Amino acid sequence: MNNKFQLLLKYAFGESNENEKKEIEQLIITDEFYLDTLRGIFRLKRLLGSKEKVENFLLTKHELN
Amino acid sequence: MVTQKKFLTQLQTAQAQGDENLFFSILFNKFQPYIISQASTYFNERSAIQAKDICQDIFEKLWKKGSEKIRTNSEEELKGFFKQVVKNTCINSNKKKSNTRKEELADQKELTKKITTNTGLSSLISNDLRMTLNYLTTKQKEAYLLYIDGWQLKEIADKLNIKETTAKNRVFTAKKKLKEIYKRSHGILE
Repeated sequence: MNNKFQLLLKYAFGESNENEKKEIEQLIITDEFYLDTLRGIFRLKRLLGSKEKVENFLLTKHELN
Repeated sequence: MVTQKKFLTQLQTAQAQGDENLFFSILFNKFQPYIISQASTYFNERSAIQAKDICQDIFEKLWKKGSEKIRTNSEEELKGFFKQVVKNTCINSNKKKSNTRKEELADQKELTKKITTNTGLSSLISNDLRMTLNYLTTKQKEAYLLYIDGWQLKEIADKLNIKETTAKNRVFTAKKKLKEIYKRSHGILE
């Protein structure tokens, strides 16, 4: 899974440090693609609960690695 | 001078006869322009409409109280009376509006807090973004935070009790504003 997706996942699950947060926020504000991806992750988070499940879902269903 | 005397005589006669309709219509015709011009000085925006409303409020209240409490010795006295009434009414009206606005702001703040807490976004976003979000209106902020949190426009509209098109507009404006701010502050080029 590429680095940006790992960062988005960490962000959604509150594991980012302040610098990572800033990097993600700059991405989601300036690039619609990352905003939509983060929104999707938040939806999956609500649906599946844990980071592990979301990560597995993304890996298996969307072949992002 | 003759007209002034005639006006006062008509007014005093109507008052003495207890003809409220006539009394207030004479008073209204005479002082409406004066009241509106006085009231206009208390409002910045859309003053003409607000001043007319104030004038109507004043006459409604006076009508309810009745004509006997109004002293009709001279036009100057009546002018002074209306000047004071306009002042009190306008100050009260502005105070009422300011209190309503304060209550609305407090409600919106509370709602934003509830949304960020409910979505869990308050602990997730950076201090930078928290500060930047202050450039948005509370309504835009609410809609944008729910949008980031993955809610669809229809769901946002339902949560905020607004139309879907309104939700769409708020999110769109928020995205546009934030993009502009980030581009300016981070020197990002298109």
